[in-house]
Amino acid sequence: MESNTVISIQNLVKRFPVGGDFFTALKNVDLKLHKGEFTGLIGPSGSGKTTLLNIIGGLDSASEGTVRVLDQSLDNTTHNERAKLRRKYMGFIFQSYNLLPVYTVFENIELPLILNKIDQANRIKRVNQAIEWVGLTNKRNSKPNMLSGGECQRTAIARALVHEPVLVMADEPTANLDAENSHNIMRILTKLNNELDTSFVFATHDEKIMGYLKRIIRLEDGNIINDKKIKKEDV
Amino acid sequence: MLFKIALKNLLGAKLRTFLNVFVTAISFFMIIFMTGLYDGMRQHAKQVTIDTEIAGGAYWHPLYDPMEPILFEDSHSTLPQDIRSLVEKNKAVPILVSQAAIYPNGRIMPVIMKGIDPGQNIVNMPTNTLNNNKDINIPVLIGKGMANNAKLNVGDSFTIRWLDSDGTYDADEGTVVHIMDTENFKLDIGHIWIPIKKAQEMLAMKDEVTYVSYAIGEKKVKKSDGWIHRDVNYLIQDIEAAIEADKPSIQIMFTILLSLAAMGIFNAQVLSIFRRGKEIGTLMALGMTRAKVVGLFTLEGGINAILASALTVFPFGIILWWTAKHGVPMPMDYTEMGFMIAKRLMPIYSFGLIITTTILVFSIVIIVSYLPSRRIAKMKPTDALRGKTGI
Repeated sequence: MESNTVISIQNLVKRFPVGGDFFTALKNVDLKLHKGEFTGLIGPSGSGKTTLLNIIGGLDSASEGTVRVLDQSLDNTTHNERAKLRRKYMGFIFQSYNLLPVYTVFENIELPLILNKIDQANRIKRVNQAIEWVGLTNKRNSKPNMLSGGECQRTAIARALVHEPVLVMADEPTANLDAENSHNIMRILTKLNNELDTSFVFATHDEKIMGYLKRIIRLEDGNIINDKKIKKEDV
Repeated sequence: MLFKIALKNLLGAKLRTFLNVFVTAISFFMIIFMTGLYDGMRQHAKQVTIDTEIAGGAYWHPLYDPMEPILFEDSHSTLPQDIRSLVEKNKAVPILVSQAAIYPNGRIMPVIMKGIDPGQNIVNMPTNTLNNNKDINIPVLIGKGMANNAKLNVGDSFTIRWLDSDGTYDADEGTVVHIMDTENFKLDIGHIWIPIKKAQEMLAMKDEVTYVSYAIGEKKVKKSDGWIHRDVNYLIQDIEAAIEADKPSIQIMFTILLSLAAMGIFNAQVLSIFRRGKEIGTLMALGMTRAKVVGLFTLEGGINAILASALTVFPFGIILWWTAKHGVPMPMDYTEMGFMIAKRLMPIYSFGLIITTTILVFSIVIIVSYLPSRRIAKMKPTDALRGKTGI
């Protein structure tokens, strides 16, 4: 594997049991993603983009094929090894934010650092920095039910990035947001991509965010039908 | 790390935590209260028997057997010297027992007639009411249950018939001078109490006695001349046997209460855990291992139990303390039914009961926290993230 390759997938097939039969969500997918890429998996509902994202994140497993993420094969890893990979090197952003309702903004962002056993002084410093990245300094002690959708998603972004992962996966991060908030979120993510050199993979069908992507992979019925790198002049 | 997160989760989920803790604390309280009440009831029966009937122990006439009334007519004699000396020093009370029949309101009722020294202070009975009844031929003390059965009130007279030592039936009129309110049905139901001198005169058994109860703390006499010494342990053996026979009942009651508590706690914990499926999925996505997820929820259950213990101490502890000090009033008098149950039950919360209950409730809380979280942690993270918990 090349040194800057973050994800390498070959002949990936994913089948789900449906009734007495199987539904094939991904069909012989081959894919390579490199460090620092800002990639979108684009396609209509049911095209397999979330499934692919889940497999890359080790939240689901492939039926066939090989998946290597951050130089580690996910084919023969245990749950604990995949959990460790996610904990140390990955961040997740969900469509419905998935913030823990009883935690404040600060505590939600702090959680990955607690799981990584970072000492308290360091945690406070890094959480404050992450809060600054997403512009939520005045909301640090608010609970999710006191935040707008945009603020919730910014909290989720800070949580995904606070431990400075190599790879961040975002599943429809702007689907629940209005246009202004969607652009804000994407501007924050682009900035962090540039500053931290973190790789981002989005699963989305939101046309508003296409302009921010550096690479667009189109999926349809479980197949990659198009894989296009966007040059600056294209944007 | 887990403890910090668990504590944060519990403190953050204010109402949910309070409800879980409250249900557990109620279970704690109910088990301790009900079992303590039952223990108190059994101890009370024993104490009442000692207080009103047994005192420090007894010396029985060699032929006396309280379970064989037919032998009463032979089980009497004058007291041996050492025992008489106890009586003379007011450290024992002599009692003469015989069979008799009474005719209240034209009915016939077989009874056990006991003569007792009205001036005694060895057993807790209002025998002094048998004194100073100069105009009354045979002053009679009866219990409330007996009074109800025979429909007798203070001042009522009725015929007493007895068989004297010569084998002759005699009869005379007795008058109720007092109705005692005793919790010991063995002094009450089927019993009439008269002054011992009168009983000895009626039965032609001058200075004769059936048994003697002696004061608490009194040592056994050196020479009892064939009279049988019965210590407290012997005399309460029927109560002890009843308590022993009743042990399965209390174990069943304890199990039922514990099961009810377990169901309540299980219900609260399962609902709480399964409602948090999405949260579990998020924790997994953030890199928490399955074992740690299970550990987290089990730990939350454990902290829950600790908080419940604290809640049981305050405010439920105050209720327990108050009931232990002042007792619990019973809605009715069970004495007439032949139950030695106090009108005000004094629960006994033993150290053993509290420790056993605490350990059991803790174990249940931890098991019912562990089982559902283990099941949910076995789910695919993607299902958990969607909140698909399978219930």
